[in-house]
Amino acid sequence: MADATTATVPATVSRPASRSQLRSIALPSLLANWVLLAGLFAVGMLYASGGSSARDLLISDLLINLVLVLGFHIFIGNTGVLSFGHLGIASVAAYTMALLAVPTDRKTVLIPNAPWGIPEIELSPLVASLIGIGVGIVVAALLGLVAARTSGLAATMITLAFLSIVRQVAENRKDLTGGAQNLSSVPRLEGWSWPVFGAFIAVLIAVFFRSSKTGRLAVATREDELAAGAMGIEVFTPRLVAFVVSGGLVAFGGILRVQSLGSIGPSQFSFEFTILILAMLVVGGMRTVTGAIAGTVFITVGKEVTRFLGDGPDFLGFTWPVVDGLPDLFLAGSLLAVLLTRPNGLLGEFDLGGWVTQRFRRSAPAMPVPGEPAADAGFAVVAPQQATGGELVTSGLGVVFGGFTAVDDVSITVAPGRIHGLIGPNGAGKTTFVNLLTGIVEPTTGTVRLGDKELRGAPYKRARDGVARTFQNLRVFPSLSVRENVAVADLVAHDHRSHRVGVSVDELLALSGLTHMADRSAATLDYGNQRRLEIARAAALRPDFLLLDEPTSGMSSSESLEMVDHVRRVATAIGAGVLVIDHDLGFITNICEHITVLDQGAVLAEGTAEEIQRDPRVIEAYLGSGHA
Amino acid sequence: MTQFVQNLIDGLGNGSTYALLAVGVSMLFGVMHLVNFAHGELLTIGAYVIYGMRSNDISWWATIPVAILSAVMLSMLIEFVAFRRVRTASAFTLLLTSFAIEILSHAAWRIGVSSTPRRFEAPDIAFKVVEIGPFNIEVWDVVSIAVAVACFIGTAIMLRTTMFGLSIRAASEDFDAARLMGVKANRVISGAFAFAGLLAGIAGAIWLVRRGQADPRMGAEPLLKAVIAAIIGGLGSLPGAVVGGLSLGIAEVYFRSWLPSDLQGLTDSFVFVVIAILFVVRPQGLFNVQSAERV
Amino acid sequence: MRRTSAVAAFAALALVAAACGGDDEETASTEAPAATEAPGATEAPGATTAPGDCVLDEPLKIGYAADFDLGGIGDVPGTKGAQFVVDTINAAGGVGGQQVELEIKQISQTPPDPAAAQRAVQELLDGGADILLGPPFSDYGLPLLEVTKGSVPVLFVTSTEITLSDPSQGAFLVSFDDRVQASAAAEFATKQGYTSAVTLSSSDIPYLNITTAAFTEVFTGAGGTVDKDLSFNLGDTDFSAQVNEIAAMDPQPDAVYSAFFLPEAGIFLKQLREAGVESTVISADGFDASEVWTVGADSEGVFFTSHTFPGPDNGVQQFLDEYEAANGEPVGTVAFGALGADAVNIAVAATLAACSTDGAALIAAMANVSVDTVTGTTSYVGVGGTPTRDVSILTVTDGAPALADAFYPSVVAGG
Repeated sequence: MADATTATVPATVSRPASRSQLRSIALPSLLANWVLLAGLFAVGMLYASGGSSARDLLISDLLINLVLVLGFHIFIGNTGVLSFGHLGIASVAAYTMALLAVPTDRKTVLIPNAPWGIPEIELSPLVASLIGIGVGIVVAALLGLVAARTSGLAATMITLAFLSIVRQVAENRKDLTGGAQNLSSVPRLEGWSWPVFGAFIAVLIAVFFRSSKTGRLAVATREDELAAGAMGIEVFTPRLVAFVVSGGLVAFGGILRVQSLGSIGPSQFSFEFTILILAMLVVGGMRTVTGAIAGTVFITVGKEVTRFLGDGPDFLGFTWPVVDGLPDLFLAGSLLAVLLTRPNGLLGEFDLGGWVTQRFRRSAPAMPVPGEPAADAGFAVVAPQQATGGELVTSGLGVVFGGFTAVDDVSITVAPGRIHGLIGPNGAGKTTFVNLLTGIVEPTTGTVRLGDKELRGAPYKRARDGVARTFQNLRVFPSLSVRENVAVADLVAHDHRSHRVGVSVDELLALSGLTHMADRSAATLDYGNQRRLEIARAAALRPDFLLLDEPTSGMSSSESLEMVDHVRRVATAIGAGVLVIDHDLGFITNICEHITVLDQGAVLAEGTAEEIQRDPRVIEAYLGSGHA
Repeated sequence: MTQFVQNLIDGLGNGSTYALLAVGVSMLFGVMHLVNFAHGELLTIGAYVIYGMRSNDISWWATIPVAILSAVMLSMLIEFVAFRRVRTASAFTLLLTSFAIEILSHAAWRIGVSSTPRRFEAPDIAFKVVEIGPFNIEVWDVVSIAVAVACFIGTAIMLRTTMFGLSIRAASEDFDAARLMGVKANRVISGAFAFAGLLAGIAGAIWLVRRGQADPRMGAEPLLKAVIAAIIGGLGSLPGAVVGGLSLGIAEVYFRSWLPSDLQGLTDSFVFVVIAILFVVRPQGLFNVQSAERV
Repeated sequence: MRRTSAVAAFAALALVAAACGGDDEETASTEAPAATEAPGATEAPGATTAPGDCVLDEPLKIGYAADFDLGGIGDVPGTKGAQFVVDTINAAGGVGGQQVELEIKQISQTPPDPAAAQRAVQELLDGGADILLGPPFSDYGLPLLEVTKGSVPVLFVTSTEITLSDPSQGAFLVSFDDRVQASAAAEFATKQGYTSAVTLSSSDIPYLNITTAAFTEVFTGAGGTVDKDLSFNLGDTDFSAQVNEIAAMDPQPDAVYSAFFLPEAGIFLKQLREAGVESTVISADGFDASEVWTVGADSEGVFFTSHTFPGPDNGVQQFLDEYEAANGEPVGTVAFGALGADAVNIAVAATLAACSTDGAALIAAMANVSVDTVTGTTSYVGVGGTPTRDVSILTVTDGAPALADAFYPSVVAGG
């Protein structure tokens, strides 16, 4: 079945754009954020040199907070799932470090009955910290296995439960932890070197995670879990990896904090402290490294200033009143103000790295993009590809929802490389049929085959098997750039569709007339461009079949005509078959060689456009019996 | 057996307070996907109102309605000032907003009154015990259970018969569809906050009569219990919240009397482990929310 | 100056005692017995002669790292008492020819932030504090000690946590620790002829379980039995499960011991009495801090260990009266304002003993401080960081606390 000509084109022709892109995104971002951090640190040193050594403590506290906030950012910012459990990981890691590093003579006083020979162990703080981080990573992996399986509030509540359990166990295992009585004599960090090192490493990890393949896939699931699944992105693995990486970083931050305080207790990594760290994350902007830095600085400094003012100093020629709890008021007030006025944080999606990159791109004149269109943003033409693979066949597909048969015994066959229409009035079960085909809804009866392979299981598996779809109600990844929307699908294609020859991301953008807006966030595009972007994204997956669910919904007839051309162009360019679902008979007959008509969940008629247009049953279903 | 029944009565008494709070939490989740951690602050304002009035020797009977009213007003105020502005935001933003309000409330009481607790004495009825057969029945437990049952029945009737109740139910099913059918979003949400505030005020009155103390952070603990109760019952489900609250109250008492003493400190952990397992086994079923988004 | 008062007298007494300790830290310990002459003196005959012996180069600076949040139970009256006595001393001419300076800084925040507390402490040190007064609980206390690193003495004003008693780090309690007060409670219970008891403990804070463990150790050591250790959590508002369990015991225990405080303790007491349980309730200094007698009739007859009580041998009543006269409102609690005053007196005594404001010298001098403070005699001689002082056993009669007994326990739990 496979066309022999395609076999002669080596798969490596499609260059792994993701790798080079990774470098191009990560390095400027890393450098920019490092420069920002270094600048802040320089300001901090200047400030510290002019006063009390409490200022030194403030700076190391700020840097350690930054490690924790960036740790939170890696999971929460990239996956959009709220975790309350990360400080539980920090607590376990820090206790591990403390139990190994506290001098034996102190341990025999503080926790003489500790199990596993702990009172006799005394490791160097560095070794103990590394073991602590290792334990933290293991705990994060175990918790992640549970938390990453769920999403939304379920994950939040499971992680909250974990945090509470860690605290209760630490309070109650008095022989091991000393209970609520804090464990003192933890070797302390001296000077700034470790917090500084930690902050720079944290920025490095956060930037590289964000630009890594896993990070980008995680972000796609954050943007739209369903659409990500339809692009072949599995939710679980990227989330788990994000959880483990962020857990490891938070463990590191927790250990730094305990070594900076010199003591550890069950209440140290509390729910309240979690809220404080989250506040820092959210106030700045939880999705970017720059936002995390900004929020950490804003809250830490703000609390410090209000602490100073709350003690009633003589300041600015004025004696301030003594106010109990002023820092709390600042924290709550600033968090509330930011949430109400700028829910995405003070900086929103702004990242210094992205900004610098864009500046750089704009100022660099020679940035050769294949098929760069003229200013009028025309559509490039890409050389067509031969269709490969087998037919897409559903046999006896049906589903019953609580007694109501939404789709009943539908068997259709879509030929490779052909445009097949599926039409029916509203409520005919078209979208449900697509959902059955793509695995969003489990069928009650029937099977789906692509060539020799039966499609089964979750949507992401079927997408990887070669069926890519668009959605009736537009599901682009809204806060990602246009380019990144397409590039993420391309990333999946590299791993799972490499046997197909792909069209590069730039070519797809050019083909869709989106090149000149490639750096804009997808949410800012108008309706028609979002539609084309969704198709481009689906095409980037190098599917054998494209499923387009009402691609002209809400469009005028002239726009619809343009869309007809566009769908043809894209389908030809990637050599895929197309199944178009629509209720607009005119549009479908215009575009499709072969048409299936669905009514009340069942196949009403099948045939060529002409046959269908003449079929009296179709006319009746469409126009009502009065017109028959 | 006597012990078993005795525990059951005690557990129902505690659980009825949790359940009253949990119904409010669950209702707000239903209409706007908000887990409202600021809900506990309605207890705090009630406590300070009672303290203020009792220290001026105003009778208990007069203070309780005022305390309940203050909870209703604060609930509506919080909605108007804060949640109305972030109504369409993500669950994440809503949750954090509620935390911000909670911390703000703590700070406000701390600065406005004091971090040192304020006390008011409890009326005698709060701790009266009558012996019926082998059982020691606390009058206040009976009062709590009776008031709670009356509230639940009232809530059920309200939801079924009034226009407002219908709107709430419609909004909980599918807010967008409800709006298309003419439900006024602001009015429904504001009403839901008022109603949840009323239940919280009543729960607060029951609870405060015994506690006899107002302090800035007092609301956090019972609210956490109520959230747990609402989660056990399935957020968004009001009967679920009642069941969740009562079973949490009962579970606590049984854990306390049956667990060996060195494990008693871990009572909450056991509850959490059970919840976590429930979530992993059936995350959708527990949440009782239309998770199959329209595609 | 209207406040030529008992407080000044006690401050002066402190000077006498301290002056006896000698100037030289090296020789100080050998002279220690001389310092013990002070106990029992109720008047201060030598008050006018002592102060001139030591002249300081610079003023004594005291920093108070105060927890006004959860620790406010101790530090709110503690800071008031400390400020009052500093003002009094200064009005009477100061110490070593210099005015005493007191700087109070808040270290508590919500969410609790020990790192911010460390900065506040560092600021006190950088501001030249020679002696620190510290908060009641170790969650802030231990991080505080990590900042001072033994450079200055820290007197934990209202704390009874044993981890905050460590002279090697310059950490001293102003009063006894939890094991001492729980041991005294157990000894008192035994003296009353009680042979069976139930304890109520919580793992939430050390105070609530270290006390019960110590009580159990001493009580059983004296032949009694502790039949049950029931648990509770801070924030509980229903104790019927625990109360019913006690009510169901046959015979009912002679005593119920717990270090709980209001509001939990109030609810427990009411429920216990309503359930018809007549067992004596014995508790700890949290009953004073939270003023348990405000609960009303059900608090009648409870016993609790406390730091002091107004009596002919001390100046507590005078202190309370003078504070109220000067400030127009009572300091609150029986003992905690007075402990704040004590802490300042101890600081002054150590300064005069060392005749220096050098941290190391002050810490060394603490070892011989035995001083008549507002609440009675406080002595660090030969005992490390926790002074020997009698534990007052108070009871509530007619809606007010009254002294039932006062002694130092013959056996202290945990060695």
